[in-house]
Amino acid sequence: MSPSPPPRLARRLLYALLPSLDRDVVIADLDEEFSHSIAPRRSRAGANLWYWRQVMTSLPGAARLRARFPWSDFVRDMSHGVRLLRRNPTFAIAAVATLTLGIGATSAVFTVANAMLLRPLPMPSPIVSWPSWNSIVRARR
Amino acid sequence: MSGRLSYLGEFEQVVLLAVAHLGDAASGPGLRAEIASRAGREVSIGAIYATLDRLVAKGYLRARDEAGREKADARVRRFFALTREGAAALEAARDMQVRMWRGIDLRKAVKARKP
Repeated sequence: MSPSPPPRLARRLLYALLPSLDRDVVIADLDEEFSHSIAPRRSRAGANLWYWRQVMTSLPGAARLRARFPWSDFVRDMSHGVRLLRRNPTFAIAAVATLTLGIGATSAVFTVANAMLLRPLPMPSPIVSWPSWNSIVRARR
Repeated sequence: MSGRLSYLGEFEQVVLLAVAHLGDAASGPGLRAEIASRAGREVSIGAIYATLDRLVAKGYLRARDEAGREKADARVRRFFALTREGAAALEAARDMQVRMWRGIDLRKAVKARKP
């Protein structure tokens, strides 16, 4: 009979708390000890209790590891993205061109809108100085 | 490393000594077993990895990840090795303890405190 697997909830709890740089190594170590040394020698309940105790006593250490690597998930995602882009250069060029055009067009529109609509005119009293419709009509007559 | 050794905590010393005992085979489970058998202390896997990580950051240990060569055992294992700085820090901690113990007779020290 093959030994029972580790309790899923305890495993997920540890997985969620550990930083991505360490979680595979730490959980694989714990699982290996569980399946090789603990599960064959204890009852299922006893083995599960052992695993839960390991997880609960590991939580402070896992939190300390995570506090040291708050950016580990971000770094992993970035490196994964870079690997994907290198694997497909056509998509990478298209993505970079789209981003370049999008950012460039948005910047250009904002520059014009900022100069024309948001910034005050370069004169002491721009509202008073701005010709009203009546004054334009009068000047035409 | 700045060349200056930082203070080693008691558990850090235990972990560094266990790494020194195990040599190339120092991994998380092995270190836990070594500490349990030599020091009689049950250490959680989270605590030991947090300490190992801190010792790597201090430059006292070097970590390397190795994948199993056989297909059935393809998982990654992390092994630790003592660096020169780690060995020097252990020696400094031991020397400090020896200096502190020198000349102490605990029975006399306890008697001297009695009213």
